[in-house]
Amino acid sequence: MVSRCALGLALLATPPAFSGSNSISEIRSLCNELTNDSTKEIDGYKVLKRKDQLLIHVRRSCESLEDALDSGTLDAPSSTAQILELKYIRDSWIQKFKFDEGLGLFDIMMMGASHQFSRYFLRYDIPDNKKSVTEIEPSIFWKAPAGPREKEFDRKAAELGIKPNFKWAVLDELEVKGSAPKAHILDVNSGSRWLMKWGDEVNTDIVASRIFSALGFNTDYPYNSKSGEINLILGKTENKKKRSVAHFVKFIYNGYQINLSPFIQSTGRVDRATIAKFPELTPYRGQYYVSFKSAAIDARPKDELRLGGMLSGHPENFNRRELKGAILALAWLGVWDIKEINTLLSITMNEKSETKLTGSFSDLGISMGIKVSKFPRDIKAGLVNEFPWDIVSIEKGKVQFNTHVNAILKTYTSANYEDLQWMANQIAQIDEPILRHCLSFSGWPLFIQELYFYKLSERRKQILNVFGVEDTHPIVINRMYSYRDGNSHPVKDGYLVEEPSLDTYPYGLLHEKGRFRGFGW
Amino acid sequence: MVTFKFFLVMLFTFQFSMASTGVEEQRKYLVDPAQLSGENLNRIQPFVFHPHSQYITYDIYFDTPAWDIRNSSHSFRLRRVEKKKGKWDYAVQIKSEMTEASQIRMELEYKDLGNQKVNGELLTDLINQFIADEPARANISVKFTKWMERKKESSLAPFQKLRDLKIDASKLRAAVWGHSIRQRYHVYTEKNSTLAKTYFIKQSEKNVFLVPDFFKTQKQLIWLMEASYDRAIFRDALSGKTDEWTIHELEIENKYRPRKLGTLLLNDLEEKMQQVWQAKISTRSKYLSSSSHFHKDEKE
Repeated sequence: MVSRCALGLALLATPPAFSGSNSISEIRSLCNELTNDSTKEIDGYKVLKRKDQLLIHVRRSCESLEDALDSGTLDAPSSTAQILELKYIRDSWIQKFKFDEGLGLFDIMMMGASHQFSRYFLRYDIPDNKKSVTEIEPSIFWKAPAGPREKEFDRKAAELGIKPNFKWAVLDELEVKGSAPKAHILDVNSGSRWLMKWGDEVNTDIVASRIFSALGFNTDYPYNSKSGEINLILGKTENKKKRSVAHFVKFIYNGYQINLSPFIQSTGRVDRATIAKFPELTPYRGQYYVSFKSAAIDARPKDELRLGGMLSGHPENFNRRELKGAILALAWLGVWDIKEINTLLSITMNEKSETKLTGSFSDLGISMGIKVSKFPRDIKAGLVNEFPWDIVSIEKGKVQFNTHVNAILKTYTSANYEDLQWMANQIAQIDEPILRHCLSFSGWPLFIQELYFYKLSERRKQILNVFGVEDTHPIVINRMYSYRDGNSHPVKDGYLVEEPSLDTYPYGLLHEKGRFRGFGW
Repeated sequence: MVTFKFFLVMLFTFQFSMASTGVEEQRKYLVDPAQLSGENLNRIQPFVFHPHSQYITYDIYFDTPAWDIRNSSHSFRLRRVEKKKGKWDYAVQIKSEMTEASQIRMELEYKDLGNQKVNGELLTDLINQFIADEPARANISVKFTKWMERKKESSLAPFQKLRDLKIDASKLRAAVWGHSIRQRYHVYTEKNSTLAKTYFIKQSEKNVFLVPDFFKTQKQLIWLMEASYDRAIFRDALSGKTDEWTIHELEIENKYRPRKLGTLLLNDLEEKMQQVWQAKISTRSKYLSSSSHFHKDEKE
């Protein structure tokens, strides 16, 4: 009961909508706060340096509002929209500062309560008179893919100049945030920045992001990195000494209590012979490098400024169908970690210095089969046996989702049947070739891809049935899928029964031991 | 490699076009132009000056009637740069003066002036007209002041700095203006030079992606500094006087990392330039020099 009261209070904490005439002094104050480097503190948070993307984007909007003042159009809808956008940017930016402070006890308890009560909140009335669902306008969050849906992820990545096929990277910065071990790395040849991750999200994040992209949403750009694909040069420590593999493993262990040793494929040193073969490694002569059995890399384009979450509950977003309906897509893929901070508001800038505000579904990795243990506290993602065949049903005149999430967001609880039906229409566009294409980038063994394919297809079929969407691309589903390879029989009657090689998948695809992350118990 | 070169070009374009704030460790010298031509350039060994680009800048400097900007050790200007023939870039900039040699200088700028207007006229057109049309200058100067007045509460970084300095932008008027022909040089030494041996200079630790292409292909060279030699002519913008003030100034910026060793190398180069080129240390910016020349009786 206490948890439900707390949830209720959290749901009420949505900022009021903007109203009234626009005041230039308030606008200037907001602009100054966002751009003036001599303002070192906002809402009690220390602001060290404002990035160029923020300065350029905000100053352009502020100058446009100054022009509106001159032309007497400061109260016009376009000006009001610009002011709201500035407030939106500010709120998202502040949210990032809050998040960087880490999760408090209340946040952790809320995650646990949300997980426990997910089914209670994720049920939706079916109206007596169903309206026909109308199309929506493109937004900073969603746009109908212009070309083949399976290519949408790669098309957007290419637009941002993302090139994931590199062999040599250098460690730039060790990260200590979040619960999954990660490090910032740089492609030695292009200088492009990436976040390298290890563990149970290295397959799921890739598939979920590609499917979300095919649905028309913006996402991060994660890629699975197969055994030995990338050699990571470990660089130097703060004391300018060459960082050893032991130092690197120890650092990750101290930060995340995770031993990276089983993930290491090979180690080496950049010597004369290596440089003869790869001359671009000359600046790293003598430094140690390591390659991994399994990892994921997540693009961090240099021209992208990551603010905070995309704040789906913000006044101007609150009624957006694409955001409300997104809960159906999240449920389809079994995304558990749907906290606001796992979405992203970013400002990107191209070579012509044109800036763009983008809202993305970021960090979709804790998905596609979650095992939550209360004692000891633990969670693991990407467990195919934990990914139910059934996702949605009609119970007592309501649409009932069969899934768990770690946050109850008002945007999602306030979604109505039409919002979900609109999303179901998008899901209907994801046919067999698209699903197979997205799964093919996962790095999973083919038989696990196949099992996921059938499960995703079955869940898709149920969604289309419940929302009365015609399936123009029906998929033949085998709920009793089995796979045998000689003496090995890893998949039997729709269940993974043998652990694929721990040498290739050191985090395990069957065993449920995760990362012992605290999430509410 | 092609990709890498492309990246570097993009990176530098981006860096130079978008830099809106920064600090620089630089020194200024007064040097006779003859010293930086022909064989004289080679007399400063083991430092090597490699000329790599040349461009023209036009600057219109502003100040209040009480010379508040000059008195606060800053300069405030509208700038037009012609880095490629026929292609002009514009900026409004504020820069701190060097109150002592080798002091790090602050610079804030806003470059997106393409849409800025004064009573319907584009600011960039007015800058062009100010430079080209002598009779119209006084009239355009008034329009500049109107723009300053309009922007005084804006979020443009130079105006934010003026507010921090408690300088009323609405009182600004064009004080001096002029143009500079700027020759840029990479300053380097060779790995086996006496200098490199004396100081045990290794390859710079500067971010490898910020190192110019020139040094990427010639590994035996160690990038130490960037230099620019300005041949500038300034005029008074407050009176109808047509006399000119010529400034020949060499600016050298530390690019070596670790920065501390770069500072030592700057000291070494300074000594050498004083001996060989008779270079004189200067702390005066072009604005301070020219405004003091034309208005020396006024409070400085």
